[in-house]
Amino acid sequence: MTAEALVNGALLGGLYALVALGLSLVFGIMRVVNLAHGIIVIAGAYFAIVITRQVPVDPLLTFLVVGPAIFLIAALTQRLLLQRLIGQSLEAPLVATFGLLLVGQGLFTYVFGTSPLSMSAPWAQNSISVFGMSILTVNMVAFALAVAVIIATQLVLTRTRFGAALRASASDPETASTLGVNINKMHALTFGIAASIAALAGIVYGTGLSVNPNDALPMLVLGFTVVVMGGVGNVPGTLVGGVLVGVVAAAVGGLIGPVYSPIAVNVLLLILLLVRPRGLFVRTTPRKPKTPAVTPNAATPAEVAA
Amino acid sequence: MNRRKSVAAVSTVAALAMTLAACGSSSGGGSSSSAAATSASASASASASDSGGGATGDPIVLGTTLPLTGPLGVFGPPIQAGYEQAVAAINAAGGVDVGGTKRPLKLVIKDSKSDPTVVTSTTKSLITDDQAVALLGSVTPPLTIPFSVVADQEQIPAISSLTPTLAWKGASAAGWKYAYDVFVDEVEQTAVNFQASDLVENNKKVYLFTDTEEDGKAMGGLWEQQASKYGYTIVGRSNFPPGTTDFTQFVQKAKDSGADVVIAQIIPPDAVALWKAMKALKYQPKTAWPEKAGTVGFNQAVGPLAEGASVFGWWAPKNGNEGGQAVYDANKAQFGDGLGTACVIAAYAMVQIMADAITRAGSTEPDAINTALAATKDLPTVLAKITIGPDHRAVTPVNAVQWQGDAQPIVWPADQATAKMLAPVPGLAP
Repeated sequence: MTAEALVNGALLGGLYALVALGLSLVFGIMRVVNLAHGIIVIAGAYFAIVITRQVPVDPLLTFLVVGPAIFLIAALTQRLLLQRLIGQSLEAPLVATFGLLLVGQGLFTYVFGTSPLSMSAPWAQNSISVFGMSILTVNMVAFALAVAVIIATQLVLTRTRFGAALRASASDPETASTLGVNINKMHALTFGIAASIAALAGIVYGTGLSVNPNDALPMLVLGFTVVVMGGVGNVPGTLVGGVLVGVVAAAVGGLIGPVYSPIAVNVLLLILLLVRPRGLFVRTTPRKPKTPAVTPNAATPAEVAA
Repeated sequence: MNRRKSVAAVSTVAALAMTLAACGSSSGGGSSSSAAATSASASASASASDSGGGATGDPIVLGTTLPLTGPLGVFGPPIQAGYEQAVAAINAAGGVDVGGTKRPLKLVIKDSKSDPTVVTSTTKSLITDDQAVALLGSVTPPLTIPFSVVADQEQIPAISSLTPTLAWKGASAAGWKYAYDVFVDEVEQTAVNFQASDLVENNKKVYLFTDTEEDGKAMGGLWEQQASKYGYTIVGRSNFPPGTTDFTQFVQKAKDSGADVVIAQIIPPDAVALWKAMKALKYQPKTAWPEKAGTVGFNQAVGPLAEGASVFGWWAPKNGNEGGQAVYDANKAQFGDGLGTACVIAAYAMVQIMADAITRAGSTEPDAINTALAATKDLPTVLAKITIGPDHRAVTPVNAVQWQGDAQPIVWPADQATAKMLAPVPGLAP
């Protein structure tokens, strides 16, 4: 194992964080475990592939079209399907989102087949030398995007009125609703934004690696691993969780062998669930017992009213 | 729902999803029931028959379970096409002569989802529900072995191709009784990488990337055994679980080792990741072999990076086959000028062999067909001239092909070559 491997692993963790962030947001604000998250990541990649086959542009630029398109589809799905199920039972949204995953897999298999597809970009086919280490530019791009998206998300959640409304809708929906917060609208926006971030992750994934419909479940598992490590609903923790996964996989791969990397990551996850069941970066003793597992500094109705 | 319950719910779902993913993504043996197995959306069941050409008797049901979806789904369509075209051609010519009666073939196809567990259940279903009197296989040892096990258990003759024969043979300690495999021999196959690499000047150093599936282990071992015989040295080997995405430090190892030859036996998505890492790290070997992954659709998966990637091949116009060129020409527009179409040919030949055995058996009784199959000798097919040995294998000739543009011309052996080998690997040029 070398420092180079650890740095590349850590930077690749940025991609893992990007994959996981939307999952964390949806659970944190809507309390929905979105089992369709993996297929949304894949959808982002496939949409971008379709565009780059028609117009030879950098895959990242396709986000200008893919992001809004996925946002719209996701927001509509939330309003037309999930909204009716949330609150009925824990199982209903689970089954519905798992159904969406299967439908998506079937659809993409029908349209694109099961062979892996990928996109080309100069930043995904190069490396630069930093202190004698060869660092893959695709990993650097993924990490930079993850940091930018996570900072932006955190700022929106904590520094804007919209963010306060989101946090209030998660913290105390009934009271927030009486204060004029449209909970359904907040949920639709959350689902749409989370899906757009997932689509961005898919574009990077499909450029740096490849996608096929069978990736949806592994992508979901990766997202869960990162979310649980970083703390459910903890936005900055998602980045730390992603980096942790990347570094552990690289370290174990280098020291013992890559066969043991996924085992080590899952063992670490199990240990964390035992000793820090709320994730590494969530307080074990919440300041307010009734504060939900949402975003940090959940807004109170008073904040919203203000 | 309070926070503790929320975390518990996420954890439970995560564990469930991990289990599902582990099962669903496995293409190795022994996996339990999976999401893929229960997924109605991805399932497919089809039947094809053509009773034209004057056939009068009851249809003879041939059953097959193919990877139409899942990690090996790229192989399903060309195999399906080969089976359907052969059945259609035989039926158009009057059907199969069974004891003086011309009977049409009826093909029943089920989707195995690339899952060995589903292979087992669908193969049993073909026998019990669809009344198949003979079975046609699919691809790779992880799928062909469970298929053959069911055939032996149920005592129904079954013939497969696109499955290296030694791994298949080794899976039955007592020897296969009703199952047959017609394809290349791994000892010859693994020698091709060295023999064809000799076409270009190189330093005889080889780095291996193998996965933990059966064929990854077996092929890796054979390359290690065979290297010295051909004057090569294995300077490193990295083993990966399927689904690996970060190859960076291992590509760096290979590059640092100075290996001029890279051989990989990994699934397609992993090979894409490996190729992209080699490109990014500016590692351009003289020859590079994404075996298994580079067979079909590699150019679609990695784009221009596929240029110069080489793999072993199993069909050539001049390998002693009969009628293979016509099948090749009829399919290359759809399945590509290369091994995708060679999959069609291999499948087509399996129907020819089975139909010949049924005719010689003069019966559709499984035991009679089985006896006739075992006695197959010098049978001309579109794949090659086929003789089945006492171990139920028929070893076919092997060659080497290389991605050049969207085609895979043959580059070795010299007497069958249709193009010169490009080196160093152009797609990986820094």
